[in-house]
Amino acid sequence: MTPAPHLSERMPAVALGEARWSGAEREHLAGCAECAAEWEVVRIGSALGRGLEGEFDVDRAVTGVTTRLASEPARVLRMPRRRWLALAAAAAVLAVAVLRAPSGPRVEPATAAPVQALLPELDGLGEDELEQVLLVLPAVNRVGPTVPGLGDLSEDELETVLETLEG
Amino acid sequence: MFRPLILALAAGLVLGPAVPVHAQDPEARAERLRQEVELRFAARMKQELGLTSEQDARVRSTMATYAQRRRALEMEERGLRQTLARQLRPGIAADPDTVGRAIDRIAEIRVTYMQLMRDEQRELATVLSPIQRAQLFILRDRVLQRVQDLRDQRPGRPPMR
Repeated sequence: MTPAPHLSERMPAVALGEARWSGAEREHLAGCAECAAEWEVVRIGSALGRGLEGEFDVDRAVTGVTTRLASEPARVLRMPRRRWLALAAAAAVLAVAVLRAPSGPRVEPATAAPVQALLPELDGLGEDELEQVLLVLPAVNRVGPTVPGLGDLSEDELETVLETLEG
Repeated sequence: MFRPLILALAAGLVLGPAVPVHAQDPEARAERLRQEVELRFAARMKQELGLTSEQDARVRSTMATYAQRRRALEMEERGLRQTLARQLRPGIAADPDTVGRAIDRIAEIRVTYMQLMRDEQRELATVLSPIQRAQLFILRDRVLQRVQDLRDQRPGRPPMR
């Protein structure tokens, strides 16, 4: 599914409780792994440090910093010419590295630990197809269970399910 | 005076290729995604079935064993399908013996595949409750159904299952 930029722009407001997702937006988030991952980061990020203001004396910190700034003499950064050259060299190296780096979205290299293959049927699928498969497997704890519960099935219905399993 | 600049540029040129180009390779990206699907499937399985650590380890071990056998069958079937595709090209006379052998073997593979699924269920029954087995069946079926749909949607590929 194509990522929706307007969703990204609204994420901070929704995370802070200043806005709410519309039905269409919620539907897009449920189906778009990329947007869902971004929303997860924004949602969790907005909660970080919540309640810290109770433990951190902001007024005291501000007073301390401004007092220190007023009392300390201003220092002018003077760098010898050789340092400027070294800095220019470092910038050149960075430019070379950037120019030589391949373009396109990056994918993290495979994890060192081998992943147990339980689904050989995935063999031969391309990137786009695998992304589609990921959509039927929402990340754990992101949404509620997607496999229907079997607790409300009758005995006959459960037996039918088991017969299907056992062939 | 310019020595640092020259040294740094030389280092940049030497180290430039150290950028992980393989990470941008489409095959590597597909492999990374495949691993992500596997990890997510395993995580969902553990959560949705409410597996204990011991159950989780045993179920994964059983499934991995049968997955290897299914993989071998899948590979063989893919090869046979390619044989059929080569034989059944329009305008070229197909060899009836080759086509017959290929289609018979595909039928055998399908039967073996189903037998493996049944054997796997029997083995899983020693670890999982009937409800957990049913939940696993539904979860895996959902993934396999999606995989099959995607294969069927490929251009120029008539549905074969």
